Amino acid sequence: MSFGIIVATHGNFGKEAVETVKTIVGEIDTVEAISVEFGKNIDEIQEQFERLVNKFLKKYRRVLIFTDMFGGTPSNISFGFVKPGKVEVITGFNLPMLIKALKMSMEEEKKPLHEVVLYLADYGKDNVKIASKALA
Amino acid sequence: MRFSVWKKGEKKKKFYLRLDDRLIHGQVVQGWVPFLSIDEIFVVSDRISSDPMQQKIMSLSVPPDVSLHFIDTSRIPSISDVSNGKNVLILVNNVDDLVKVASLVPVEFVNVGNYHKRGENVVNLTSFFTCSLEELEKLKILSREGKKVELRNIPGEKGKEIIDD
Repeated sequence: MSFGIIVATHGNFGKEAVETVKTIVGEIDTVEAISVEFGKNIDEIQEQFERLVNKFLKKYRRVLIFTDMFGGTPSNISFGFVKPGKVEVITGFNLPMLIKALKMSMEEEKKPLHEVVLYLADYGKDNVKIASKALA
Repeated sequence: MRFSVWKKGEKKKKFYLRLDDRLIHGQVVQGWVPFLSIDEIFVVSDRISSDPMQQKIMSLSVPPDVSLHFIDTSRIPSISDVSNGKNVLILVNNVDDLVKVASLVPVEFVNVGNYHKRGENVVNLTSFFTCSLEELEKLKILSREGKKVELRNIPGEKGKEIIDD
């Protein structure tokens, strides 16, 4: 396997996103979600991240973390784990980029992770369309 | 307590104090900073003030027109030295630091946000606030001393004052 994927968001947004993409790409175990609740102790959340990052590093050697919003707690915590090429973070994820990432993670991906994230970030941005422009 | 000399006609500086175990994050940057027209943020923490990585991460989401300082608890008195007319938000992540700041800086009010104490003998006051009985007592003492201590996570919600009963 080429890399593990963590989707870290405020509330259950990420969990639902993962469930939704599984209905599209099928059951897959390279991805797990972390729900950051405001009702939880911050050290507990930090430990939850640590456990999952370490588990995925052991299993897949490389980890890609998607977060919902730059500047939010899920992002801020994730940034602390960044090791270029080994643990990478993309903020403000959307479903197209998550689906693409899952597909890439299932293949024997030879591309270095720092190139994968550049590609995925562009892919996600390209998939933001304005309907009236797209239809014009 | 230190009060700065305020000349008539000069715009006063205002200090707001918030307890939040996440320090800088969306609710602060998107909520309180614009709501209080904040010009400067002081993060008071002995741990963060010696952790450049955490400082870098936190500074990324702060708008460029807001100046951000990370200081340790020994430098709390220096917060009062900001220039007149500035609105200052002071962030702490624990009750002891909160009490220290409140005793050294003339704050307008004490805002209580995300805080989750673990362990025995804790009281849960709202979905975002759980503290020890000892900590609650410290907050009540602040209220007894005449400070407004309010549980209010975001500006858009109704606050709940902690009063000494």
